[in-house]
Amino acid sequence: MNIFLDGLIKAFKIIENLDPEILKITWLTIKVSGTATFISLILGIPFSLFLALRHFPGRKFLISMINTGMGLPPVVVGLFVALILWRSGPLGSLNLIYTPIAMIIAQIIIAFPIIAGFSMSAFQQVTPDYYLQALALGASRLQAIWAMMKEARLPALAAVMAGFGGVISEVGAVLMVGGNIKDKTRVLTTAIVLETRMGKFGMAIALSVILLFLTFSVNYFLTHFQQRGERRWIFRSWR
Amino acid sequence: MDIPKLEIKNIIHFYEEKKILDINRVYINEGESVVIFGPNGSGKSTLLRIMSLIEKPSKGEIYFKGEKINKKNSLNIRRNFVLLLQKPIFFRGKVKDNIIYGLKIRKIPGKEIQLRLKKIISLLSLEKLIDRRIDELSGGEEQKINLARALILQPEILFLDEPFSFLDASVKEEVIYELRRIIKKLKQTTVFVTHDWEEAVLLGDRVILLYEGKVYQEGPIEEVFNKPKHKMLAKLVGVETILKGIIKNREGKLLKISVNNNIFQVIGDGELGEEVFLGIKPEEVFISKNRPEGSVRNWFLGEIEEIIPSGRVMEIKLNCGFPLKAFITKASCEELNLNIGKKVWAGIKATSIHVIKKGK
Repeated sequence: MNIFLDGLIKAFKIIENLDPEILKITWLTIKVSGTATFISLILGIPFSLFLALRHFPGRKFLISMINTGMGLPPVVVGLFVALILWRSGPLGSLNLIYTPIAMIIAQIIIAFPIIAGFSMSAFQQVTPDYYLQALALGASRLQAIWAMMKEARLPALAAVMAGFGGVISEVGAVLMVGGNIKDKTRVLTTAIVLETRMGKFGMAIALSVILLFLTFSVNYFLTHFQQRGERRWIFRSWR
Repeated sequence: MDIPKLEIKNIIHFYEEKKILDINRVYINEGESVVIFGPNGSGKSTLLRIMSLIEKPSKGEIYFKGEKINKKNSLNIRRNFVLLLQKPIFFRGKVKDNIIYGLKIRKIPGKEIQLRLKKIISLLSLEKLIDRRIDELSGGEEQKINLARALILQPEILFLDEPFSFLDASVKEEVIYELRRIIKKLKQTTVFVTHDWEEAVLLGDRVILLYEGKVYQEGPIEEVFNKPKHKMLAKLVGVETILKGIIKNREGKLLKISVNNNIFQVIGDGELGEEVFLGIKPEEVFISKNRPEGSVRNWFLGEIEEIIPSGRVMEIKLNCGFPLKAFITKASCEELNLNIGKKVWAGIKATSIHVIKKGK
């Protein structure tokens, strides 16, 4: 219990003093996971729209790939990206291993299937009905897709939350391709692992609190958009 | 010859490998109300989507006022049309946002939007609904809003895909009459799809009979429904006799209606000189060798043109100066010794005739 209390007290002191090292780590975490989520979104939304609305040969295979990808173990992704970016690997000449870019690449591979998979089922749920309705009222193809996406925002934002939550909390891949280098590739999760191993529980707890606060803020912000104007609640029944 | 408002030619349409439409020509003239009639799966909705330029046909040409549709002009021309879907979908938000959706995507200026909104509110009496949320509407109200968001666009052609199929009978009638009032008032060119002959009679001037993706017959409603060209079509349009007449006399609820100079006595509502359709079910028609005494008010002498076994009964087709169908049992058919060319009396009770008002 003492370890826990001591740790907590230390943690609050660290946060209170706004340790510049912690700020750096937090900022890098936001940059890496934010960028990875954003790029996954840019790639994942059109891809999921395509999967949801079009019939083509190999569609089921692609969907199975996406669904498998949703549960991809981060360490496997880490290994795969590390092998490719390794100095002697196929893209070794780019010198990307142990850089934030390598971490972003690994996180995209983790977040993309999550975002694409969730949004695909979102678009399938609001169905082509909305698309047809918009066309029927004179929308262009793009306007109709936009109308459909707006209707799908509830589950689509859940996709973003799941994607972001997946990468910001992930440690295996970033550790393997980033290397947890101080001031360069150290993010909240890898720092927590390191500090815990060294027995610096105060620092570890402080970092954890920040990580939790970060995830909560992002999700709260997204939830705000998601639930805006939402009024479909179930009625109360007898039992 | 005038150029039709909309014309489709040599349309062939496939879904995956299956051919679902094969149509030589369908045209729509200015101001007319055309019904596309056919059973489920005949390709009606697909035809409607193709005519309203929402779906591109696999093959064929479409002309709007003589102009051929191509990839370039299709969006601009499509924006002259509105299609009301079988099951309307509304976008999240207020009724008002849904009504002006079509104007917004056409980038109509705000002033014009307000002006048109005012007009449509008074035309459809939407004062109470306009600020409601879309999920607070009843089925009938939804249909009204659906109509409002279509009419506010002042479409050159209004397409309707079985717009009443999800309404219960009481609301349905009200909505249909309302729609007819508006179509007539605006002289709106309308194309709609249905498999309900009553809706067809109420709303349509001309009917196009669609079966298995092909147009089998086309013409004025009473002609197509009473004289289908194929046996298969007869089944399709139902067995009811549909007659067009004019109200000549009225005493309270008892109307005297002239059909080709034959007077029918019927219970119903209507004004003198009003055009109506009469629906007569074949099982409500009596057949007799001599004209009997009794309470039945309508007796007509007719010649038997056809006797068709139809399940457990015989369908008798009579010519009484107007076509009439009757069902009788096989036993009565033998007892009365009925055969083609024989003259018999056909009786119909005043209360058995269904009056469908068509308006002046």
